[in-house]
Amino acid sequence: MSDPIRTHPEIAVQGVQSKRPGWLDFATSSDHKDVGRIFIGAALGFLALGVVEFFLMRLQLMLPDNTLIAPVTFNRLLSVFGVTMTSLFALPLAMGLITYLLPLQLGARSLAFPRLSTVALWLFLSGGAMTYVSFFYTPPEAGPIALPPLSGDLAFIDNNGTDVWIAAVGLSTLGLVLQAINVIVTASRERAPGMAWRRFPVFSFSGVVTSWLLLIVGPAMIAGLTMLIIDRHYGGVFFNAGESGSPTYFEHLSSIFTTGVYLIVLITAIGVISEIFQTFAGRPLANRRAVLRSLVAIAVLGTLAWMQNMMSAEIRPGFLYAAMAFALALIVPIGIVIWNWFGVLAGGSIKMRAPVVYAIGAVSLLSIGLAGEMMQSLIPVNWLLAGTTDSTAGTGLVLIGGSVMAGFAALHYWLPKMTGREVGEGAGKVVAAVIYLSTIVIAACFYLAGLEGQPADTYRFFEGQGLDTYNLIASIASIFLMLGVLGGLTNLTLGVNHGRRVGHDPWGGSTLEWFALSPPPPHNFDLVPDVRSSEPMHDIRRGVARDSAEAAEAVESPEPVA
Amino acid sequence: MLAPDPASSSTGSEINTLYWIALAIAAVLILLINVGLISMLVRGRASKGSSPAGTRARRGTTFAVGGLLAVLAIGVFVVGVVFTEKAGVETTAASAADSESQMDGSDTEAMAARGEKTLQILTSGQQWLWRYQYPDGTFSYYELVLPVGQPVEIELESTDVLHRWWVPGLSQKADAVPGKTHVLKFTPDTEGTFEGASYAFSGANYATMRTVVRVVSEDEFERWLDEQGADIADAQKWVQDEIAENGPYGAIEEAGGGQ
Ligand SMILES: [Cu+2]
Repeated sequence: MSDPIRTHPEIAVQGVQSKRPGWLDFATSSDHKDVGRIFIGAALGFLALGVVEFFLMRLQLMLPDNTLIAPVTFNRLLSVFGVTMTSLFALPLAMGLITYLLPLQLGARSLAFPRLSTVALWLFLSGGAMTYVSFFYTPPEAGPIALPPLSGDLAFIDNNGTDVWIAAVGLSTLGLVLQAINVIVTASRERAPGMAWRRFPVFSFSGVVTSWLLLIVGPAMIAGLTMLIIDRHYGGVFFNAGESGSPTYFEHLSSIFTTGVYLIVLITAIGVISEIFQTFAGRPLANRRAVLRSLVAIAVLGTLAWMQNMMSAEIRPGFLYAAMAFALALIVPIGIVIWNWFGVLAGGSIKMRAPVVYAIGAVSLLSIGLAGEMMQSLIPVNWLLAGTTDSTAGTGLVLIGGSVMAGFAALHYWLPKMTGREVGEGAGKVVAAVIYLSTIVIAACFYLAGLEGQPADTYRFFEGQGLDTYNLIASIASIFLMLGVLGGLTNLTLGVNHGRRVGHDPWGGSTLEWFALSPPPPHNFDLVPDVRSSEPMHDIRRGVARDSAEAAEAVESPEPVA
Repeated sequence: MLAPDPASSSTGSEINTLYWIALAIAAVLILLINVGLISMLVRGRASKGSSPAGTRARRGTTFAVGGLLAVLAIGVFVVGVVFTEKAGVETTAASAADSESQMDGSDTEAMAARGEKTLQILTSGQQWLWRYQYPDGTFSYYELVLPVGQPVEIELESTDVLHRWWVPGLSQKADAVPGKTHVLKFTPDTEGTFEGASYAFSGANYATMRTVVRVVSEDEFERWLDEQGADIADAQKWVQDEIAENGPYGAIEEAGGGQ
């Protein structure tokens, strides 16, 4: 739809001009590649805003008793930052990559519901626009997750900021849920002949798992937000204590959602890292089936462990033990995935290209964040660490490892497919190192400050609590984190516009997206291949090599004329 | 540096012990993954080229690794349950101790003599301070004074939004939810002053919602309670007198308020 000349050569001949400007065609396109590109581009834009907000908050928390930023302004930054990093960056980035790549990896010509994906995109974009336009009237200020009663009753915050938060999270989640339906239907109905579930590329499989997950956790959040709106403006009592409601109900619903977001980040990262390790080591996962099943297990067990975010709430011990059991059970599938990565790396001679460097950094950050999460799933340790800056550190490590590092890895790996151009390798590696080191420093400072009892999300800490050094170092490191992320984004933009042209198959990957042209035409493939194994692209290359060898043989030794 | 605040109650010490165990396990896992990652990279780069045969050979190990990890997960879970029971259900443990001592019938009296009576403190969170009410009706803001060695039941409430009460080393974290009473139990066993705060985002001045727990000897506690009671009575009497003298708003105007 974006390029009528290529789809309909007769237009070129007859010279029919599109009446609408190009950008409007692009913005309203229902081609999964256009939708995916806008999803990714917008998500990265929100990432840029997010790191700047983070830096501003760290500026306020650089010194004890600092009064640089007023409490209300800080809380607004904090609330907008919360929406930005989850609903406007991490989820849409994952969804954008899936939207772009899943049809290509599965040998499909489009998504099952092309128009639905445009609607999904614009729902998400309007959520994002609403969040940032609110800076001109009333931004949200009820915290990263606006829990009732603080958010449920106008008596506590008597402006419409909380409504902005509700609408932004709600619209973006609704868009993502619609797109998740699209992805699931596409994966089951549109794949190439022979593309059985067991042959799915790990990334596409992770996309299907995260879509199912979104289909479960998204509506939980949308339901909670709807009830919250009714409570706020239409006399509802869903979350009103003493009127047969309870604020804890909302905490459950939002915990299910935030746990889901965490898992989507993790599962998408596993998909990306698996693809990159396989391609650059030139070697498949030893036990694909175990890895694919592990992804499902992570989604199921992780979601069931939602109450591990609520261990200080008054919940009967049986439920808390169940949450602890589910959270600890995650050790098994995550361990199996990492073991399989080890197998790939140990057996292949890996090329240390930028995607690999990013992926290794991502694994390292994820390992630390997940180990921290394991600690916090033990109920007494949770009483010690939850709600302090330590839990911020754990979440941050997984978010930066899983979304920023693995996200940049994915973009370095797949942007050549999207644009036909390569992203700068040297700058990419430097950026990876800067982000990795600054994240480690910030996380360590947060962890140590949390042990000293610094609460999370506060606009101020006090002198004489032993927190000065940690906060100062974290603030200085946040400058490097910001520069790293912004530098990485600049590098990606430069690559898109001015990168070296690298052709259609720069890495020699084993999945079908490398069979398409770079950038792929609107219909993706002239010829949809039959899939015979989990490495269809290798089969195609082997087939081509065999055919050309035969042809060469035929030329060299012509059949004797008898 | 990696140590949590020193424990000043049995709950606190169980929490801290488990913390060290968890930290050790986490450190081992982090080390295994990261060292493993680097050594596999080095090995892979040395080996030059892939061997599909090796791929097949590795398949069986997945089950072994999975089994090993399952054992680890179950082990950590059991340790977690044991410590949760030890840390969280102190009164149950105390009553169990009671019944035990009744069986051998020796130190029941000693326990009674030590005043093993639970001190109930009605604790209510409000934007942005903590209010503590003692059994005799005396109350205090910000500072909670407790006698050492006596079991305490904190009955947590909130008058407005969600708050979370925690004093490091002394107790677990517990949510204060409006409309509910959340009871947590611990026995402070060290005299001293302990700083705590609210650990759930509760609005504009959340950062200032701090608290202090002063654990003192029994005598000092009684003395403090009397003094505090007298102060409150004095203050109330002053207000009553002012109202009697200057009418209901006089006291406020005199104090420079009331605009
Ligand atoms: Cu509070």
